[in-house]
Amino acid sequence: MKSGFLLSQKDLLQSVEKLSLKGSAGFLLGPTPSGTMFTREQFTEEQKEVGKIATDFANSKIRPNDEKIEHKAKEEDGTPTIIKLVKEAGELGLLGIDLPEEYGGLNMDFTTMMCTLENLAINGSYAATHIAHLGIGTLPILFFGNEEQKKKYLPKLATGEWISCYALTEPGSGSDALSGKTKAVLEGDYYILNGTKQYITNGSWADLAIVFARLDNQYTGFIVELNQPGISRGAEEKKMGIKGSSTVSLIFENAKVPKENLLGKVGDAATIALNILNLGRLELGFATLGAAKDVAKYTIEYGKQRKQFARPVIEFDMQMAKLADMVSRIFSLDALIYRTVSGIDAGLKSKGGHSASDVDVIRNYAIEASICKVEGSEMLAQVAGDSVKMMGGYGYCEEYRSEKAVRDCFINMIFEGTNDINRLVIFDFLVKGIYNQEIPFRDFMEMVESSLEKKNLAYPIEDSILSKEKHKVYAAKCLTAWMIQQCIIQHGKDIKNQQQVMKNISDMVIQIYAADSSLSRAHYLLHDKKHAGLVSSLVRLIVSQSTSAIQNLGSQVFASLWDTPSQKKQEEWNQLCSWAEYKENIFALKQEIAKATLEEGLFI
Amino acid sequence: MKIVVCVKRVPDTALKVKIGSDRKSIEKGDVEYIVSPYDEIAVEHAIRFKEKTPGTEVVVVTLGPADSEKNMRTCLAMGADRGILLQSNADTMDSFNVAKALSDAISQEKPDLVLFGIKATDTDSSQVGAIVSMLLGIPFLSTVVSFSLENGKIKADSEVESGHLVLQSTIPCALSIQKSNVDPRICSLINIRKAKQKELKIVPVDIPNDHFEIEKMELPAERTGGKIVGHGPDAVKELLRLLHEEAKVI
Ligand SMILES: Cc1cc2nc3c(=O)[nH]c(=O)nc-3n(C[C@H](O)[C@H](O)[C@H](O)COP(=O)(O)OP(=O)(O)OC[C@H]3O[C@@H](n4cnc5c(N)ncnc54)[C@H](O)[C@@H]3O)c2cc1C
Repeated sequence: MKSGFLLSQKDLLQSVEKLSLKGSAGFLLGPTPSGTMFTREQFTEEQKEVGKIATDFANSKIRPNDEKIEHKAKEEDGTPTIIKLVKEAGELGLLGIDLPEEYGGLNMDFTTMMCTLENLAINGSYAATHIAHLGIGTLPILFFGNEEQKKKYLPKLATGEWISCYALTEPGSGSDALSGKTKAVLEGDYYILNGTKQYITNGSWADLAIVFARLDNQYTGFIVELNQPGISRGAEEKKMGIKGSSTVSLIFENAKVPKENLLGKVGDAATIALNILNLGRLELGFATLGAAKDVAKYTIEYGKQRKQFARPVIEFDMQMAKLADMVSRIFSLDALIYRTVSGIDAGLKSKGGHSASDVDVIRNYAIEASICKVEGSEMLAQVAGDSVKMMGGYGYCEEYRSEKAVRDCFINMIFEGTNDINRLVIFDFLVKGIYNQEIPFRDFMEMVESSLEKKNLAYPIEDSILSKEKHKVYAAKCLTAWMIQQCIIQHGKDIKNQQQVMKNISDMVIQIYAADSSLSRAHYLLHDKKHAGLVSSLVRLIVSQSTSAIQNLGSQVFASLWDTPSQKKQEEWNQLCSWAEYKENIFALKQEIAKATLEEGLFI
Repeated sequence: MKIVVCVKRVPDTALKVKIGSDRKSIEKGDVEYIVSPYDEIAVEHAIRFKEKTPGTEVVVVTLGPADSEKNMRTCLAMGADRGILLQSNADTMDSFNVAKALSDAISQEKPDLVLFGIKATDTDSSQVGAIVSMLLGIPFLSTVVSFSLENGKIKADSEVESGHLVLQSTIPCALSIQKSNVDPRICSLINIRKAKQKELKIVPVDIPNDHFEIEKMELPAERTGGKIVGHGPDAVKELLRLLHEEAKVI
């Protein structure tokens, strides 16, 4: 399936092909060669099977309990319904998919595990509870725990016998996550913990917590069993959404933590917290994907039934346009998120597994994981918001699910690092990667500059499928890289004070990843002659919207860099914009996408 | 006790079926196949019986192409002990041919009980169970919603349109299973893994030509939306009038 290379660009391309599989925003520095990206269309039979279990569980166990979950109802024996469900998921094996067999897991990859998160996420409270447990609550032990700790805790967490949580945030330490004041002091065989953790998901019903505290002023991770003297739990927060999940403070007053429960090494908090958050962000992205698909289906169902002016409301042009927006954003998140997780899996596989020495694989995907989180949460916010609008007054009422979808989706833009913070992460890691020469930015820029001189941008791959669109996205990459270079030159170290610039650049990078991944996914589908009409409309819409968004974001940055730009800069910028210019009749495309979706319900 | 459950793979019921260009069959392109939902309930009944009655063996039998293995593994993951896949690519609609192949295989197993779903959700013909019982020469109890073993006999509850029957039969016998409050279990990942190791015997079979053929296949006409005539008791009068004058059903 791979296309031929033009010789002159071969070396650059090969390094890029390797790079686009290693994270670090390698996708930015060249075309993504066809056939190098994993999509859901390549699921193995096993992945499909596991995914189906999650879907069956969601439909037959979670959905009928939506109401009970929302009101934090309890079963006859006093167990909260939501926790009963998490434990049932554990019995089915859904909490241990990615854990090694020797610790009670099934030793499958993250791709398989995360595909279950997508399918389970039809209830926001459930998704948050499940993910806080098996993601940020369990993975720190898998990656940073020693053998004894893994043996002791992972089997209990894999079955759901114990529920876990992750306690990083404090009243005075939110976005500035490593500034916590909780203190640990070694006394004999125990660490004595004092302090308060705040907004802890699963806090009220967890048996175990990953807690971060300052030991000799070094921020350090601990595994803490919660049912013991010296630890109390605050009242439930009254929240806007995910009301069925538990969010409380954990208060430590001379809590005793056995010496052997130190996680990793003293001072490891940053490594643990930030790497695990990368996985958490990815998981959250998967949850937004599943939630958005559920909302889209529901909206269609409603819109087909509801008639005004003697027609189903969904058939009106403006409603069809909103539906097309839903489907196209879902399509591209789907593409970029499976691309990301499969890249991490490939990296971990080549390294051999899950231990502290393997986390640099995850670190390398910091940019992509943040993109999954930001794009996922904002896509879902749009889908849920449009769903309410498309349902009119009914959408605003509790009786219909969209009202809850809007309340539930907002948190995704806040926890696991606010989207603003994630945009800073994207920019920060990108610039670090450039300075440390982790990615061949300079080589790429040399190519861009020489193309600008020659006034000719050659697309370095011969490819018959979607060649125009690929060329345009490639041009948008050149434009973005050029803009990053100008920002670095103009602002130097002061760039860290230019948050609006950083935000725009991050948004350009997000748009590129979305368009690029959509193209690669569409390439497979078209190559296999699957749903050609719909796929081609989707990808044309996506490329059209993203290239114009990128130009728009770039223009704002351009205007901020120089009061009067030199003629050369202006010409270069104009040239780049014209290369990336891709205008389609998006009204017609949206019509086609919506029509096909109403008929076949594909991709949602 | 030995229970044989006959299962059939059918196009996923969640799927929107399209008619193929020959206008005689469905378009097979992306069709995912599942165990027919009623057959799956029959498997569930057999497994529950087994869980209550130690020493029971559950054997699933299907007739279909090689990739029916996937659906057989689902039944094995639910808890069936082994499977027999009568492999044939014949896309037969002829219930007699199917029943003949199944009964030949089942007779070698000498089961005490043979279970069927009340119908396969693709053809809806509800014939195979009855013909297999006839060929095996055993009693056939239809539309069963629950059963138990009492004093060496099978006691079964059967839902019929006009009411409820309690039946009793000697063993061996065959039951066709109707939907009730028994839902098929979701298989655990461990059991799916174990199912891969379970015995699945593949036996190629020859299916003779069908005695009849499908001349034409059509989708049902689109439903033309309902009408809400009002709410509460006030609406009854108008509803009666419409049923009488427009729909002419009363
Ligand atoms: C329902 C819920 C569940 C949660 N679950 C958990 C959990 O399980 N475990 C856990 O440890 N935490 C959890 N949290 C905490 C969550 O991660 C934090 O709320 C989040 O990281 C933001 O911190 P903050 O609320 O203190 O906001 P702040 O840090 O006070 O931020 C306020 C605003 O300032 C912006 N801002 C902050 N710093 C910067 C900067 N440098 N540049 C630009 N803008 C900036 C932010 O983007 C935001 O818009 C949860 C929170 C909620 C609401």
